[in-house]
Amino acid sequence: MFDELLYALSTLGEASFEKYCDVVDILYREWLPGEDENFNKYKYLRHSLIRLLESLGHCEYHSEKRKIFVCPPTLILLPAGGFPKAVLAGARSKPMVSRLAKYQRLKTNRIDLKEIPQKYGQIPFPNVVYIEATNKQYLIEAAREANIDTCLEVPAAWALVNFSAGIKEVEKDLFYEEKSEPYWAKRFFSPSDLSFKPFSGELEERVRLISYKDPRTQQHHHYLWEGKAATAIDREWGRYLYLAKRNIKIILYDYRMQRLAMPSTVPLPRLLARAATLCTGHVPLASQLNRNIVGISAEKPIDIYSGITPPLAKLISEKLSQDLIYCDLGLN
Amino acid sequence: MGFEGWDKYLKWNDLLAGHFFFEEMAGREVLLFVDDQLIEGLGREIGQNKEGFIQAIKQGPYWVTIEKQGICQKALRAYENWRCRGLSYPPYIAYLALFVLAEGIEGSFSPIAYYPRLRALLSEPPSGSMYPSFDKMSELWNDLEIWTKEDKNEELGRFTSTVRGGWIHVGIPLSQTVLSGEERKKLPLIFKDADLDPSDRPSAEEIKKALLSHGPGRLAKRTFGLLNGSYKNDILKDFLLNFIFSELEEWDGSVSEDPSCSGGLSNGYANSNIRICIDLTSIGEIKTTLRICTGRPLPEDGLSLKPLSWTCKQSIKGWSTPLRHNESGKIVNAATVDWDSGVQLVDDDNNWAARLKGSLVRLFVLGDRFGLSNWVEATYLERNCEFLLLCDEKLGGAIQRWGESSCDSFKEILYPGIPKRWRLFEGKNAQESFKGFGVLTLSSFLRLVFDGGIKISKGNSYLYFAPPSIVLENSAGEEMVLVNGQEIPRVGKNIPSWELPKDAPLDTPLNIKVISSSGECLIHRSIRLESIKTTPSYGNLPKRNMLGHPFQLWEGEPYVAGAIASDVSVCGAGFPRPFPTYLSSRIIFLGSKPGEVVDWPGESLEVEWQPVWALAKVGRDKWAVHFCGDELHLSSAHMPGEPISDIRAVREWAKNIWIKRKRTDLPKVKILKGVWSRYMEVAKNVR
Repeated sequence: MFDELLYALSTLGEASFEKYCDVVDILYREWLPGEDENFNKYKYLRHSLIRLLESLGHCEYHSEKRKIFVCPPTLILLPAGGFPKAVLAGARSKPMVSRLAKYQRLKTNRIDLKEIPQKYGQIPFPNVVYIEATNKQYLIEAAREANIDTCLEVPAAWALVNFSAGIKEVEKDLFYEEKSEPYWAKRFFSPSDLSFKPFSGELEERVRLISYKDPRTQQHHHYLWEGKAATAIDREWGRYLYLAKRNIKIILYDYRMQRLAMPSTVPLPRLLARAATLCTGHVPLASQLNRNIVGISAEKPIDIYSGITPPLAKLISEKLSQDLIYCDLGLN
Repeated sequence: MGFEGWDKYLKWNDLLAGHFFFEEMAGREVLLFVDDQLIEGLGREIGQNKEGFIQAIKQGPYWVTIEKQGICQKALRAYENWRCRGLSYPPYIAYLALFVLAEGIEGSFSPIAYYPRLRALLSEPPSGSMYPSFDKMSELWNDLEIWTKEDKNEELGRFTSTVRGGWIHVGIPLSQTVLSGEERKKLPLIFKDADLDPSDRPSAEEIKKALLSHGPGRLAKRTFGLLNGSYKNDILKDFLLNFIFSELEEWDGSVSEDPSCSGGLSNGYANSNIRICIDLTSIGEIKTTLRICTGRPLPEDGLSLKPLSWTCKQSIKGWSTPLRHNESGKIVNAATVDWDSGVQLVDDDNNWAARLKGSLVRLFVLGDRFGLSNWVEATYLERNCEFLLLCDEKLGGAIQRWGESSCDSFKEILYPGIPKRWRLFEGKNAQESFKGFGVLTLSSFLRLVFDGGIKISKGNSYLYFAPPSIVLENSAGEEMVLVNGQEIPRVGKNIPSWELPKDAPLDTPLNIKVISSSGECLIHRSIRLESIKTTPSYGNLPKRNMLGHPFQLWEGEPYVAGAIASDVSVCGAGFPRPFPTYLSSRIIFLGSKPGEVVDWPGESLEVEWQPVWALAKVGRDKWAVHFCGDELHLSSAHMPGEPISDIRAVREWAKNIWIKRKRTDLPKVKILKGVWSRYMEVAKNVR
């Protein structure tokens, strides 16, 4: 059923955010019935869906234009040992998957195809379409049969994590200047809660990350303050830069399980999130710790990415100016 | 006349067609309003004028070669088999435009005389008799409807060829003149000044009042005449009001700059209406709550409304959650508000205004049509539905008399919880309006609405797995709905609604007709259910820089789009090949030599040998084997090597391959099964 979300986006090609919300409301209505209280979950559902659809390489969301663009259908190489494995990212249709399956049936000696359901917490997602072959040439031929592109030279996760900027590059582009606060509704990033909280008045901390909402456009603008000077900053990088300046560590790494985790309220910046997701082609596991770890309490929801090798985890943490907190994530 | 003359006709035809039918009109009703001003304006584009238009009409398109034929005969020749000619537009539109233009010809004509006007326009001798073959022009009007609805799926607009105004042949061109293009453009200004909201669904009376109050300077004298009765034609007046109602529904709330547009409290603010909701489910009493009804999504953090300190958040589309008191969090009891005078609230931080309109009569319908439970305040009365009515006791007697005489059933409900001085009635199937209150005015105009579904084009195309429902508004209750000639059963109990058949053909127009009990076709629409198609072009896909921000790409600059990092020189060899630890929370990795075994995560993966197999635990005592070696291991010559010296490890290796074999799912790829079977053979013989 939830492949239909990807089918709808694939047919639309591009859609306004409002149109996307309409599509989600229709397709997920039966799964999340009722109104009012359940519907507030909808708000997060729409945003979670789009964030994770981006991480899976299915689409791009342009927040300024408030538009979603579906990506071209492509077989994306996973960073797996053994046979080359790929996932189908981007636009999708039933005939496309059928053509892949048809080719697989002709080459059962060489290719395996699986469609695996997945969920983020309770939210169902479009299936993961995995294809594994004894060598890349078969993947290329399968893609040709299904009329889709391939990106098989380098695992996408590796290319993305190397391409992505880090905190150092972000800081180079910042420009601090003394200014007074706009008289708008505001929220500050709480170091204890690791999320934005409303407040009025002034904060005592020297370093502050504050989100202001423009009442006319309803857009949020984020500023990182150091004393009386502030710089505009992107929300995703802003959180991590703030944490870096306050020396607050939040990235957990389970070396044995090769899993990387962070509080859901501090998601990875976009390209790093894609890199982490495309280590397996699965959405992260939405979970909770079974105990307090450093500053992260047991009740705090976390996102857990699997298949993150130590070099990849190290690279991500370096880009975020975070030291990994090595721990057992305590999951079965 | 040479080819140039023929060319002029089609040029005029396409100019006129393009003026009325274009993408922005998708799904909207088109009126072919044609006057001298339009003809002169369009003519300037091709260096022509009205006289040139008439001459081109008289000549006709190039394939109408017989000179001495009347206009209507030439129109028929233009129409015949036109779809075989590969034309962008029906080639008879210019003739239809002429017929509409004739309606506006001034002179010493009787107000109801049409044919003399047409003859005067064509400089022909005056006569009041029907123009030859004019009766056959209905074929052209009907074909135009088919073209817009079926050929084009309403993607360029929707034309309906219903005869109106009481005249069989002249009625269609006449009805095209109810509203000019210029007047239509000014409707948003009237809506804004009259404080109308698209979610309002005002009655015909309220629309008429709004037009008369705010129309001066914007609407033509003739339009005013229709509205105030000085030009008496009730059928056309109803058509005009319902047409404007449709325009209001399509209105997105925006207006162009106009100094004559008045302001008010709501200037610069998003306006919305508050509706009362009634819950009758609690035994023995009613509860009333308030919700905001609006076509705009609420701000993400909800609204905080002053001066009463109420809050709400977005609920299902078009509605807020019930308003709550900010401090206590309790739901506001609507009965505490003065319903006569209403209330006005604002959220200055979000530039939002919400108003409960004051009224002595309040109508409620079942909320399931909106996706809400209980009863929800409505702004107009429909036939054939159940309703609740709350009215001030001053009107109680009159309302009761009306209800008892005009409804199938009508009775007062005596429940605690009703505000003092208000009376509550329950009614069903009102057949007459209650004069004086717009909310109790029945509309005579039957409308077909496609409700819900995932629309994928500006016209009426929907994804096949999310089709819309067909809903009839102001239904008499006896209509049939046919899809491609087959009747479909009604599914809605409270709301007249129908579902498209599950086996409806895809990628082709579905003809929908609403048929009255007497067999008359009341509404004809077209819809398409589309199969999934991936978009042919991804040219607009944003490109992201290293920060993840969309940016303007220069030639050769690296970027990311989706999962792909383009033009990035990344050494694939440097990429660390991971163990597939995502397969399970317990995996036994096996190398090519007996004894090469790691039971992860209990044991470390830092080994000096390369795993060939990953035996992943997938159930209580169930395993699945995955290949993680390379092509060397696939060779037919490959065999497991010599055992290592650690006997315990060798036995462990063998146990996992051989002992577990009945609880292990084998690889799907055949070649791997072959390799695994060689490993099993070796494991079997380990001692």
